[in-house]
Amino acid sequence: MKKYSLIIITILISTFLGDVLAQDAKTVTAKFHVDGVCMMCKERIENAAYIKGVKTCEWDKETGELEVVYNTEKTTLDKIHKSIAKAGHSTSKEKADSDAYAKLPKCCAYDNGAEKH
Amino acid sequence: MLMQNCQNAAHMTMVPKSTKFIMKKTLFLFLLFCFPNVFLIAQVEKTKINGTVYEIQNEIEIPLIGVNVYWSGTTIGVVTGTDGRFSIERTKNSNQLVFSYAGYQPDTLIIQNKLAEGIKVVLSGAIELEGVEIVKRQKTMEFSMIQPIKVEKIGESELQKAACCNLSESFETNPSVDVSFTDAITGTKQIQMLGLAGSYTQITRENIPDVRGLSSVFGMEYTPGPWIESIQLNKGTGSVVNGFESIAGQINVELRKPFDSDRIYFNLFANQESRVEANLNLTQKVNDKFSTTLLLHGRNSSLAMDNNADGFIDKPIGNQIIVLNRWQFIGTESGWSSQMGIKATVNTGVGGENGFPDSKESGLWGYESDTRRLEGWAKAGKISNSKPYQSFGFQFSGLLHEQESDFGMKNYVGDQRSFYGNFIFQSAFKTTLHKYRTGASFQYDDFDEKLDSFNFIRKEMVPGLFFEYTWSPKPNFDLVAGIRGDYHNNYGLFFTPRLHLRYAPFEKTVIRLSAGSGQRTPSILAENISVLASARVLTIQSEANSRPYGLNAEKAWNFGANLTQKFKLDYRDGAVSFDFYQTRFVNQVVVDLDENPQQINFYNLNGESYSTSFQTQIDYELIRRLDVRLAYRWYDVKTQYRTGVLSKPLVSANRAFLNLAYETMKKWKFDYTLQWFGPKRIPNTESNPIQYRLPDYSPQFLLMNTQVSKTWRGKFDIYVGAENLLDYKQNDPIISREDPFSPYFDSSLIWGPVFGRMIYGGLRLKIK
Repeated sequence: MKKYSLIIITILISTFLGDVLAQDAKTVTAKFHVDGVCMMCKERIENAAYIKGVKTCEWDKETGELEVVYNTEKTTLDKIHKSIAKAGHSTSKEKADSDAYAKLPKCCAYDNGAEKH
Repeated sequence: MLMQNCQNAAHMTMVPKSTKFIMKKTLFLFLLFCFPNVFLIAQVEKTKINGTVYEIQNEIEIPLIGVNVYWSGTTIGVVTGTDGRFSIERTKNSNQLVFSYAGYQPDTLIIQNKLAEGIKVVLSGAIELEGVEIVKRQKTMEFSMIQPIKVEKIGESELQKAACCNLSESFETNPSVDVSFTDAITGTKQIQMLGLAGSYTQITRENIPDVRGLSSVFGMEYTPGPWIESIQLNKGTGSVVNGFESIAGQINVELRKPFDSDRIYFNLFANQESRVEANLNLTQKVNDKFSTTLLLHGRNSSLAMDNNADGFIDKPIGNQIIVLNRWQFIGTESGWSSQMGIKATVNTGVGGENGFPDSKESGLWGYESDTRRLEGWAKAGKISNSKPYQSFGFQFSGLLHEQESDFGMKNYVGDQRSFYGNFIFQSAFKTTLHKYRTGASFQYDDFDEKLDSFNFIRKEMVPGLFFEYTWSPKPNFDLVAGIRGDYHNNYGLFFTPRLHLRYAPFEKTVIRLSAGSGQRTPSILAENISVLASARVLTIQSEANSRPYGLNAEKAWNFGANLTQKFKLDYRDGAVSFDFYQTRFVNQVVVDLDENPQQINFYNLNGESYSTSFQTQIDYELIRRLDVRLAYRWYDVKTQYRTGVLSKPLVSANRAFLNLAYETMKKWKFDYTLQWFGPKRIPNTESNPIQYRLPDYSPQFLLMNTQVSKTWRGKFDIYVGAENLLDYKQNDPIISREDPFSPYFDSSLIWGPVFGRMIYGGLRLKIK
């Protein structure tokens, strides 16, 4: 049993370290607004935000806030904004690419009267 | 979501537990509308509807803030305030009030005019903490952090990882369950948990006993994979509410339900062995209270193939047709809900030596099997309107099973008639800190088996009472203590105590302990039917004629400990778990293949028999969308045979497991499973002539499975996969295959894959 408890402790420590290490200076958390109305939007927005250098991101449908954690050495906030806009969603900084917006399904047309659903 | 009521009343899961898992965000997220039970105490005003949304945490009702409440199909909506209250104008355009929360799938309540006063919506006990992860990407296999009993939930996406054809093939990606072939003739797969045969695991369909008695081995094939909504698996003893039979564990299968299913679901599967399967699920909502689902399954294998060139057909050819119709009723006002269903199964198979299916020549060793089953069940439950924690329910089921099989010269005919009834009352002492479930059950079984000229008849009648107490003093601690007393007409009175304990010292750490006993009557012929595919002579050392087969009931104690640690590493989630279980038999019907290779001996255990198992598993999202599961398990299963203490044959003491699952943004899915099996002990064949002897141990071997699938618009899937990609086979799986009527013939000593690589493909279509 001694062996097992050792394994357990090792894992506990490593997970703790993992949490600490992940929060080094290069990794920052940002929050900004992205237009969208539904779960399909959510998937599209999060997929678009996941560019190289992004650790994790989550878009809240109700508030429209996107929380994104990224590595400042690998990407910039600007790039994330642009990537989302390119997918057809306007952010607090970038207007959505109009071609991409036109291709969105009807239920996602947040600028043309689609309500949150 | 409303249909959860019925299950709750009918005692489906362990007590749904709410928790105070502190993080506010988490709390938020896991009060989903996805799992919880929504209890409704209704009323309405004429123009405005007022109400409150709560979540029950232990005995306290906590208002939910920020829930979106709106009329379906309209723009009229409000948000609940700080006290969980809302007030919304009625509209003529809709009577469906939608509650939606933090980006989840909305839930809908039908508001009727005659209802008065305000609406109280109680979202109680999120059953799965993993609900949290639904926001991101749903994990395909989940460990609950808040249930007192460790339950592995295998969801639909996990099941689809290996386009499984039926229940016995649903565990290919699960390290807790070993799947192996029973013999080289019938193509049957059996499962093992904790190193013990599948018959020691209680298999239930929506908490009604399902695979047992004569269907112990083949019964797993009578539940088609596309019918399965999810599987819950727990090791060790289960709840006393579900009976006394579980020893090694419990597997509960939830089928697709009338209120949750797609209108049409179609699945087509074919593999290179000419096995074709089609499934069609049709659901029709009659009205808001009634809904029905028709599940159809057909299988056909038409080509007799012998890819391993052993002179015998690899898998029997034949047909399987299974039809199930179920109804669900939900009474929102009365608190009543009920379900009923009926299922018919016809299964035929012909196999044996090459050429037998066509010619049925008497000189050839042939296998023929014909099974017919009819099952029916009903459940009803009522939740108290004034006390949402109080409910009662009952379940009934009946079964007719007829089976006839020929193995060479041997003829086996089995009939089973069973009835099961269970009544359960659930309530609390003063506060929901002290909950209990109590009730009475009755099990009746009538078996009539003939093996050549021998006839085995048994009637079992077991009335029983049970009581289970759940103490939840703190969100991080639960204790479930249950006891049941049953009176068996052959074995007399016996008690089954069981204890489960959950303690979460830290938010991401859960420790669970379990202890308890189980008892069962082994159906020795049906559970070992593969041995009929050999020349072994069956001998039973009967001790008491009044008992089934003259043998004692099997009784065992099981003790288990488990630790689950969740973690976040580099912003991605993972979990690691350690399981330790020990089963000790007080009495066992020993199945002895070792004493004499020309016999199979059954006798009461005289001495020790135990199974010890240890398993560790790590799940982690290695890079985004790539899930890794690594597992290792170790068994020590030993029994005192008449000839000495031996480890259980044909079970690997060591097994390692790796599963990789990757999903692209465009919904391509890639799955890969690699398993390593350590050597297995092969029953003694020393007294056979030298050419019919086998080594003491099998070699170690690797099994590799893979599958690729693509989904279009969430409606249409195509999948292609390969099982046993490395084409590893047990060479010469049949002893004395050139002379199957010799006393040395044996096709039941199977330790490895009997078939080589198998390519399959198929499609799924859903229409909502």
